[in-house]
Amino acid sequence: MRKTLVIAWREYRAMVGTRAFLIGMAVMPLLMLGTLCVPAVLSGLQQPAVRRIAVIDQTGVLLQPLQQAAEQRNQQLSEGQPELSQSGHHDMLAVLGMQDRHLYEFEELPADDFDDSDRLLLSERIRSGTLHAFLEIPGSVLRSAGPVAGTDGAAESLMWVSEDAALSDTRRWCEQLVDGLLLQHRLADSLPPALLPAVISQLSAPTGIGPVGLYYRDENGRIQRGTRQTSLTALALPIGVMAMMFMAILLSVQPMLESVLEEKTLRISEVLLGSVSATQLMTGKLVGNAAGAMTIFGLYASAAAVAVWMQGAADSIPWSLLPWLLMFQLLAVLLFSSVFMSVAACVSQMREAQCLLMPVWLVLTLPLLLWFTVIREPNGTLATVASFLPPATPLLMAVRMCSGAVIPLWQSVLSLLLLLAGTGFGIMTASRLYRAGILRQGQAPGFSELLLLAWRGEAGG
Amino acid sequence: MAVVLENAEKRFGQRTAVAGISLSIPAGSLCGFIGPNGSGKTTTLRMILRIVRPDRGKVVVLGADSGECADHRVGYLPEERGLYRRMKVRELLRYYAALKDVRNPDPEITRWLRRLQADGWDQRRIDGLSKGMCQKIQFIAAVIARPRLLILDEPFSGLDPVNLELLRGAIEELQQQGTTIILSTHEMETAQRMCERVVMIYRGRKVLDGPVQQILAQSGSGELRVRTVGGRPLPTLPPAVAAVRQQGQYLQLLPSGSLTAAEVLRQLTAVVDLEHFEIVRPSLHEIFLRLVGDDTAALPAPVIAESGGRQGIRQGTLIAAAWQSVRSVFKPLINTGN
Repeated sequence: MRKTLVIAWREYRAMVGTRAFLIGMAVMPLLMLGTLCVPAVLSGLQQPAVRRIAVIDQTGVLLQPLQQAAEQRNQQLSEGQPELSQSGHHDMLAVLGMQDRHLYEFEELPADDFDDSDRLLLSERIRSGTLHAFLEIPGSVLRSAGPVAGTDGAAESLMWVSEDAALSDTRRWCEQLVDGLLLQHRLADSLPPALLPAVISQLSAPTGIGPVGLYYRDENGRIQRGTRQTSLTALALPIGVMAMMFMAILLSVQPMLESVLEEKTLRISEVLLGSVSATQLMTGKLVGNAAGAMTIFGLYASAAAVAVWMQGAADSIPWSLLPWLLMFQLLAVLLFSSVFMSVAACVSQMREAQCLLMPVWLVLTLPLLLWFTVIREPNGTLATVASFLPPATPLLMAVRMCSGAVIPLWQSVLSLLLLLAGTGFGIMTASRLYRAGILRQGQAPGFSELLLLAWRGEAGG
Repeated sequence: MAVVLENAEKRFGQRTAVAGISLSIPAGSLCGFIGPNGSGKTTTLRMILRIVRPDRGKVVVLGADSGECADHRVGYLPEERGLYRRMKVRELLRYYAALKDVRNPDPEITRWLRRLQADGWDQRRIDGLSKGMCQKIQFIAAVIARPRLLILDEPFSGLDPVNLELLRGAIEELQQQGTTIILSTHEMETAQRMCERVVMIYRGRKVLDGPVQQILAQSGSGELRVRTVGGRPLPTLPPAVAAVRQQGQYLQLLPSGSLTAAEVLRQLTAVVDLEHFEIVRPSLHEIFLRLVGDDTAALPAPVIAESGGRQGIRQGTLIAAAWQSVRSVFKPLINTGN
């Protein structure tokens, strides 16, 4: 035991006591933030272009309010305010800085005798870049809901024509606005003019549904209301925790890889194995590496906690999740470190190790591909099933738990048990590979040979 | 005995690395392990270190035949390297000492640094040291726990003559203090000069084992080397000489039958004046080449030169091998009627 701790302590010091480690600690969050913020930053750097939209308004009453709304929106964006959704809340894309930042400008076109030759001309303007889209509003929409019977050459319903018609943010913005305007006009037909402003004001006032966490009973038995949530905290917490855990794994597996390769290629492992058993050596290295990873996680978490506290949002952090997160983090580091360790023991060059580790990297980054779906539906089928797969469990369970959704206790316990079993199996297999590979010289084994080595656990000559 | 191997065998998949080696190394001796690359030396050393376990047979080290790894009584210096590049000298030596259960290793570290003229290197990083300096640090790491068995794999590689003598002196000093030393080397001269006994391993088998002097004596081919006064040729070939070969200023003679050197000398001096006469003894290097140089499929049978050994003396085999070698050299001369 004492020798194991001696190895662990050296491993820990070798990991956290280097300049490269400190630089990595500082740079990694910047890289992660950069990855998350690149769309927002690029979007911010892009000069908002003016999107000109031609409107063929056969109703004669919708264009002016559209122009006013566009001017108001342009004003808000020019002042740097994020766009509000209809309910008055910032939506998720806005929070991530990914909303449409272009300015809108409406151009009125005569509605009389507007036919396909005019539509072709406008389409040519769109192709040449002088126009973004054109919107055609038939006159009958003021009284009819849904598609209307068209006359010769007239649009059958509201029609949006642009290159990105299906996915256009501008189309969605116009659609919401026109729907509201049409509601007002249809009401105006059935209400006395004196009542109209008050009714419209009441009907169109945003409800402002406040996002509040679940009610709970406090230690005195009193019923308490859950913490008020915002899109910002609902996103920042799970993403932040996932990023911290991912960085801790990333910053610990690479030193492990380099350390084992150094010991193997410089024949240090032979000297060590002359003093300690392979099990002691591997355990010591894993313990030291895990301690280093937990130090990284602790430092990042402490920095984040201070930042949250300074923002006065400490109450919005579910501190009760901390033990779960620590367990997931520890098991994740042990699992991935043991895999990296065993691969490094079986090869002689970093290039060979990177080649064999390609599938492991894919598994490691899987949660990063799924987080957006998981965060929107933390209890969805994909999120639930994926969080039961041991390599993805730590990060995805952290995202699910921190999203504010209620995760059934059995799911948390089951995922932890599966991860525990997966980590145990991983360490056991890694131990066989490590013992088999650490003294092996020459060509790197292929996948099939790795499996054989793991099965036989035989030392190399 | 410090080390006893009984029919130790190790296979890696289909390949047999060590094929049933038996040997005994007396306590306090300095034993050389010699053999070409890939012969099974390293695997044998690893079995002694308990880094690998034999598939069959028994390995007893300092009286213990089990254990997951070598204990603090065994020190090991691997061939080249074996040091963490980014650690400082004293920090590294402390680490290796801690793994050997040495408490307070600083006085011993200081003593050895001074002994090997490495004072003041304490705070230097390994990657800033020359190869020879690293070799010294490795040596200190191997002996820091005052081992009773010391295994040295090519300890002199990378050393200049001065440091080589320094390390050689340290090794001999350790042996005088009772440490059993196994010296694995390719340098036959070093083995011949330093070791009391040698074990030669070839293709996973032991082909030679015994005290160096005894091996050298028994490996003699019976050849004689003479120089006549004025370098004159032999006027006639005496009956005692079966074949003669010019070798520079010397004549190499192969005696006929089992005649003694004294008889050959008597017959020679009867026909010519001699100014030099010697019985040719092959070096360890030549014996090595004789035994493994001709890389035929058939393995040579083990040659044991230790009287009273478990497998007894097989001088006949050794002499037969030597005779075959000499015959191949003199065959052309014999066939021409000499």
